[in-house]
Amino acid sequence: MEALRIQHLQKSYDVPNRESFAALGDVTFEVRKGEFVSIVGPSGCGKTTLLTCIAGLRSRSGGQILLYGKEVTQPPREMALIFQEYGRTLLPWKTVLDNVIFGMENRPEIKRSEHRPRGREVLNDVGLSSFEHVYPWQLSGGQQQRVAIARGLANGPDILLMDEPFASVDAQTRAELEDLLLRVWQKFSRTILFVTHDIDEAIYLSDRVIVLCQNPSVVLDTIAIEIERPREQISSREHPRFLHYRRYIHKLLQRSTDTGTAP
Amino acid sequence: MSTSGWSAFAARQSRLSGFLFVLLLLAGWEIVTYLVEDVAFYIPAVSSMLQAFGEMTWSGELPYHTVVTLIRLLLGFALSLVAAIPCGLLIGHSRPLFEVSEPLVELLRPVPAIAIMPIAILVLGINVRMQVFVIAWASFWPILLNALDGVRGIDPILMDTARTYGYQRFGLFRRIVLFSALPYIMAGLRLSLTISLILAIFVEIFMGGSGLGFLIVDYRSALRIPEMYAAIIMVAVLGYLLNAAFVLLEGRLIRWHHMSHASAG
Repeated sequence: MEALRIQHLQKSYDVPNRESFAALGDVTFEVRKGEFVSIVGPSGCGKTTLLTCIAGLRSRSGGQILLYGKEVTQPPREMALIFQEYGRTLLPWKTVLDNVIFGMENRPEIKRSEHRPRGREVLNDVGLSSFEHVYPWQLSGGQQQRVAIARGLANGPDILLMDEPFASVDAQTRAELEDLLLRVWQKFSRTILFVTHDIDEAIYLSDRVIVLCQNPSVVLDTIAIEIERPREQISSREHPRFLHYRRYIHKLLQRSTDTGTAP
Repeated sequence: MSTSGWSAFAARQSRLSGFLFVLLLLAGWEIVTYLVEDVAFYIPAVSSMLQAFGEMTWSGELPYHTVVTLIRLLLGFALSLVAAIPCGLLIGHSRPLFEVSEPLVELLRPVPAIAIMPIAILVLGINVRMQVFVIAWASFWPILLNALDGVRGIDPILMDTARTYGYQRFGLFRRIVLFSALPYIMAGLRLSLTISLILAIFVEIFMGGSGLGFLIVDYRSALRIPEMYAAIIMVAVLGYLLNAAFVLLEGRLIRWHHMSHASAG
């Protein structure tokens, strides 16, 4: 079943005294329910713009964003966006648990008495059950991002949008968080749209990888990743197909930057 | 944690040495008044000031006028707070409102409260209402500007986060804007509390009647200099206590702010 369909999405910014700058040229793809899809592309190729448009935070200049067939005009309940800047997205005046239930508090259909038990359960899933009374700024970067993920999950969205969520943590933490994400993805059977500039990360995590090229961005290719799950940091990354995908995507991006713009 | 333990210890040490320094100065003052006889009239010995302080406290004169000044300044402070916080939040939150009101704010802000007083006297008459208005005028601006800056300085990512969870206008305001601006508002309030005290003493000196300011001019014209100094000392004590009470309150309200900044730095 199709969860998300992006059709001819365009976004341009007005630049004073100049031609408007096209961040998104013409982007079309779809995400099926339960799928893990990554968007990979060089820095500055409009990945963040794409995600904030899909999340309903920014207006678009053209095209359509369909969530279960319905047009997205404002942030929908069915989606949660996880930002790269984990330190700035958590509320410093709230404890970890209160941060996690922040989204639920705005959903009248979830009973008040359910907030805390549900929050604790999700915190347990991300391995932070003993930190519920702690404040976000007392945690490490990786832990803060776990809180942000827990908050996204606790709100019960169908789709998690993730904007380079692991780009600012160290390599070890990053591997841990990747595996954590795969675990909760399977446990909660969510749909994930994951943006990254890291090709290896995209292949490791995803069912499909969408390759985006630079300015104005269009979809270069979509690659189905046929590596069996559950994935494992060492063996999956040594899989012959992994290396094949990796080489292919690298070449693809290299060619697109060599020719300057999209073919 | 050991660093914060150390800094608390160091802070206590420096407060102690600062206190000792004040004592040393007072002792020096006392000695000078005995050595130079002419000075003693204008600058009386510390002991005679303390004696006047004690007598005036015992008679109830000093406590009475202190409470009068306190009520006056708190009335003005409260009035400014009630007006400035909503104004600041609103102007900071709404871009059109900010653009419309900014020139006016910049024009009125530098006008000293003392210059406003003649207008206040004309409109309100010579009474407590006018005094409270002048105090409130002076205390209004720091709170307004800080609240405004607080709202305008909110991290856009925090706002986007709340919006992805479906918070809209009022929800955003109540859940994000208010809390993010709170540290700034508190800084403005602290500044304004001191300004309120200054203005309260000023209107009392200027208009007389009651309060510590009145006491200061009254004893000066009676040439009872130690009593005059006792009233001045009381102003200092009042200012110190007000600030200390405020710091205590601030610590409770925005502990997260100080802590998060300490851990980030």
